[in-house]
Amino acid sequence: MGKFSRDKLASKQAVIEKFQDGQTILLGGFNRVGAPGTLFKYLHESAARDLTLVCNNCSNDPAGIWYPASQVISEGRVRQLKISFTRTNTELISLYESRKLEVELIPQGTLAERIRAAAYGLGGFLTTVGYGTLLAEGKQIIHANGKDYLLELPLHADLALVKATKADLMGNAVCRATTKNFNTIMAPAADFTILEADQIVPVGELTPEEIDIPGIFVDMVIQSEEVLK
Amino acid sequence: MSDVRHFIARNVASLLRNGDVINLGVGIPTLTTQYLPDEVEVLIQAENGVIGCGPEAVGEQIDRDIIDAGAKCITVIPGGWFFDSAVSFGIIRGAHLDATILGALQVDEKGNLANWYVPGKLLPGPGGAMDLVAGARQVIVAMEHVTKYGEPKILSECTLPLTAIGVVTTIVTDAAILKRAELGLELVAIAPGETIESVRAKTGCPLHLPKEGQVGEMLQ
Repeated sequence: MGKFSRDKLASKQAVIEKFQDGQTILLGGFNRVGAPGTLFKYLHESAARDLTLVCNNCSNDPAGIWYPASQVISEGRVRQLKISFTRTNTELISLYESRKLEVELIPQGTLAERIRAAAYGLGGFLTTVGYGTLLAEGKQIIHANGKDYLLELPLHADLALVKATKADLMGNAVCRATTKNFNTIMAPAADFTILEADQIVPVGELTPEEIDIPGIFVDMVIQSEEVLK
Repeated sequence: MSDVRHFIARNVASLLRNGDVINLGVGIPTLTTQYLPDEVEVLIQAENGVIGCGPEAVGEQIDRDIIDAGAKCITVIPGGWFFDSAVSFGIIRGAHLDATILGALQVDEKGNLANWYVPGKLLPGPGGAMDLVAGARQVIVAMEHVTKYGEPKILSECTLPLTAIGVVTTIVTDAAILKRAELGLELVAIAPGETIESVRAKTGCPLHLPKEGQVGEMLQ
C-alpha cells in the first residue's frame, strides 16, 4: 500500500493497536517543546512491552508532558533506552544500576544524524564527535583524509511518534518555531509514523512552501488532546 | 560566588568579536552577553533549533513553542531562523560556529575536556556538548580555576572521562585567561590581585609565558 491517502485521521483505538511488543519507537520533541504528549499517553495505555525507546530526553516530572513516556520506562516495559540528555529523568540511574534498563547514551547531534541516516537511505556516517571518549567503545574507527572518525550507523525504527503544530488529512505538517527539533527527522525514519497535531486542517490549506513534514512520511494523524496554553 | 561568575563572564565577553556566531552553555556562559561592548554584536545559536536568540521572554512575549536549549522561553531577534536538530548539528559539526562557550569539570594542557560525567554520580547524558566542542572553531571554557575543595581543575591530564580530545582553545577563570599554544597552556592575562606565581600555584600543569609581549590584566 502506498503512503498516499487523503484521510489519515485515526482513532485512539487504531493508534493503540499499532503498539506491539518488541518495537523500537522514536519519540519526537526537545524537552516539552514539540513533544507528542497525547501519543505518549496512548503508548502508556497500550500493553506494549520489551520496547526500545529513542528520544533526546525523557523527563519524569509528574506535571510534565513526558510523564506517561517516563512511566512506560519505570513500569519495566522498556528494555533499552537510546537517549542524549538524561538529567531530566531522576529514575534512570536506579533503573540502570539495578539492570532493569539498558541505556545507550548518544551525543545529541549523532542521535539526530543516525536517525536522519536511517530516514534517507545512508549506510552510516563518519564523525569525530565522541572519538577518544567512553562513548566510542565498541565503535569502528575509520581513517580518512588524515583523520580518525567513528563510524556511526543508522538508527531505524518500527514506529515514530511525532508532533506538529498543524497537519492536513494527507499528513502534511507544519512544525512552528522550535517544535521542529527531532520531529522532522524522525517522521521519515520509521516503518510507520503517527503524527499528532494541535490543529487539523483540510487538504490544500497548507501551502507547499510551509510544509516541514511531507505527508508521504506520515501514516496516521491524530488530534492532540494536550491543552498547553 | 555570583561576583566570580560575572567576573568570568565579563572576561569571556571581551574575547568575542563583532559578527561572531556563538553557542552558549548553561550557567556562566549565558551571562556573557550582558557584558558585550556596544560595538560587538553576536548571533546566538541554540542547539535545539534556533539562531538569533534574544533575551528571555517576559509577559506577553512568552511563546511556549520558542525555547533555548536550557528550555527557557526566549525571544528571537529580527533575522532569526528556526530549524530542526539535523540542521542544527550540521551547523555545529560543520564549523559554522565561531565559538562555543561552556563550563568544564577539568581541562588539561593538551586541550582535552572533561565536562559530562563524574563516575558514581548521576547517569550521565552528554546532550550536545560532545558535538559542540568537536565542531566549533573556538572552544572557550568558562569556569572557576579550582574546585570547591581547592583542587586544580586545569591539569597535565584530565582524570575524569573525556568529552573530547584536544579541542579547548581558551580557558577563562576567576584567576586567569589561558590559551592553548604549541607547548601547552599560555598565560594570556591574570586577574587583579593574582600574580604569575599565584596562578601557577593553583594550576596542575606548567603555564608558559607569552613568546611576545607581556601577561595582561583581566577586566575588573
